[in-house]
Amino acid sequence: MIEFDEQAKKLVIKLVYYGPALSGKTTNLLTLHDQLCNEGRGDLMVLDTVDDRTIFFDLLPLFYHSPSGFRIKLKVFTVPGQVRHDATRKAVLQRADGVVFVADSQKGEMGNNAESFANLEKNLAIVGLDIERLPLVIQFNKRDLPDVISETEVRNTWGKTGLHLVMASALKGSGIVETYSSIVAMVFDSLDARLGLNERFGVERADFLNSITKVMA
Amino acid sequence: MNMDRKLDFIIGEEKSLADLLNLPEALKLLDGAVSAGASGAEITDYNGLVLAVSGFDAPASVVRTIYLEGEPVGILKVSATDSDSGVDGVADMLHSALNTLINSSMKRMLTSEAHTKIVNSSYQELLEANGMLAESERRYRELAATLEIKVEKRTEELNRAYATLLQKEKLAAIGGLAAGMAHEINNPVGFVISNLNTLSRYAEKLGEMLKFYRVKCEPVMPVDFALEAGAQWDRLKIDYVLSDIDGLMKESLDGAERIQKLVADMRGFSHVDEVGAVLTDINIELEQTLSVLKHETGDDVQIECKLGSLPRVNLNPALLSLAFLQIIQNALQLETPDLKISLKTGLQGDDVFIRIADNGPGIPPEIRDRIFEPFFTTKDVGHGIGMGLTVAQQAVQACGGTVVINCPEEGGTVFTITIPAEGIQQ
Ligand SMILES: Nc1nc2c(ncn2[C@@H]2O[C@H](COP(=O)(O)OP(=O)(O)OP(=O)(O)O)[C@@H](O)[C@H]2O)c(=O)[nH]1
Ligand SMILES: [Mg+2]
Repeated sequence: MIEFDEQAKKLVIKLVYYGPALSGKTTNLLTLHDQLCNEGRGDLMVLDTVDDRTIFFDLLPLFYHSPSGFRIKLKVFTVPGQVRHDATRKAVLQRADGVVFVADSQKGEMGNNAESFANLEKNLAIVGLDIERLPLVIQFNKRDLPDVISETEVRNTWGKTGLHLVMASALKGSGIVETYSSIVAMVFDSLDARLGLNERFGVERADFLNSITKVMA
Repeated sequence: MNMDRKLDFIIGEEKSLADLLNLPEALKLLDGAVSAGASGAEITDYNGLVLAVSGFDAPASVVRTIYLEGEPVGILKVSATDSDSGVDGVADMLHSALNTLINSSMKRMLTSEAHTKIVNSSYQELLEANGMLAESERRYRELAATLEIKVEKRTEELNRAYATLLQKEKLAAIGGLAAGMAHEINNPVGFVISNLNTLSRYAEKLGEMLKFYRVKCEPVMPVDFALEAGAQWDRLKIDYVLSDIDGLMKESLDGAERIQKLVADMRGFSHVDEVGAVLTDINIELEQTLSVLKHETGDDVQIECKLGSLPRVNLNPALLSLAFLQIIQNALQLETPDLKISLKTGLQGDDVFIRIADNGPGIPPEIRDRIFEPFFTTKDVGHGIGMGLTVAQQAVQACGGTVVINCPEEGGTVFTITIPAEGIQQ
């Protein structure tokens, strides 16, 4: 959580898209930016990309005003996937309220996926976040490509972790809002349990989710 | 690994408008808007706190919301004395420039803060990250620099547009004034002159008649009546009156004729009767300008004219004389004792040159390039808005010519206008 100000009735949430280099994190955000309704979201900030490779992070800000007068701001970040940017990854991961792990579905990429996931586990521990309790969604991206591992195989390996799995193609636009909607719902539930968003501030779950995940007509 | 827990910087921390507003830059933009015709411009944050302000508040105002990450965080207010003064356009331009400024400052802050705050990684990692970040920061600096240039350029464009407008307005105003004056003054001055002529003839006749009476009647008058008449004659100083009438009439006629000529020059100078390029005698334009400026060139200003013979040049004489007016007026505003302005015209190769030199203090080299910039002025606030030379330069350029300044070692400033002798090509 970036900020929670009871007096000002404001909450700033951080979502992080994590994953190996070139798995499609930035593309996820681009697609999200295109598909989500443009009232209630700011502009996508893509900070320094060289040949599709993020050096810092990307940022898509979204916000919600509850009828009760409570404001929630959601900042969606991507980390740089390349191994050498581990310092930046840690910095971005700090105080995350939820993580989307974007895996590359291509057959040759399973090693990179595993390595990146291990890196996520390590870094979560470093920044003091508990992977058991942190809202986490796994996305298998690039489903549109021919040489990808089958969905059954994915579910066999990852199913037993109990994590929420989404099949997606950021390029074609499928599964992107679904991924985002599931992580946002999980984050809301976890924050609501801790802060009493509904009870104490009158923020309705359904209204929040509808508004912040509303797609373009 | 313990060190890693000390990450104290949170990427994505909330920033307020005040954090992100680069004040000097923002003020520059606001000032630009004020120079461009707004009465005042003001940025306030959402709590009503004034962050930056330029100019003064005026009744007609337009308001634009400033967004940060899509959320409204502040208000830009641009005001003007009346609502249809184009303040909307100024506000739009200012608003978009401010947005760019704030966004770039946001990016700069995000990247450079990450740069300075990520200190908890291994040395090697740090080195690499630093290299990347430095590189990236450099690029953001560049971006910011080009942005500043862009913003400046935009403001400049705005100023240019305004200058052209001003010039047109000025032309129109002078034209209108001259036409009005010519009409209003010419007629009365015409009958004043003709009446003065008649009057002086009448006075001559009356004088003649008086003298006739005096010579013919005095010898035959009764003595005491003749004495009385003589005393009356002396008391009324008729000798003096008769001798002074001539001088008075002449002076009055001279004055009236000068008014008549001034009006004619004014009319010629403003070229209310012409539009576009015509074959023009540049020397006559220069003389007319001097004549129009006569009231400003008091006795203590020495004006020296060396006008060479010139071919007639195809150009818009109204524009050229406007340039003369501005440059000479600029010189007349110098506070140099024994001010001397030297005008010289001549041919140099295929070009006509007009040199207007003064014996003032000269222009310091560091501002010589800026002297033609809109709103650039060395005078105190309230004395001229720094448009004169801009208008002059634009006018000369519109005539197909150039104007350059130099300041010779022996002092003073020389404006040299050069115009191709064949004038504007159709
Ligand atoms: N075919 C296909 N290509 C994709 C998909 N998603 C992303 N890509 C492509 O993969 C490349 C890398 O995508 P990015 O989104 O920049 O990857 P990233 O995860 O942000 O990479 P880093 O910033 O280096 O970590 C780009 O050329 C994308 O067009 C997808 O669903 N299908
Ligand atoms: Mg990326």
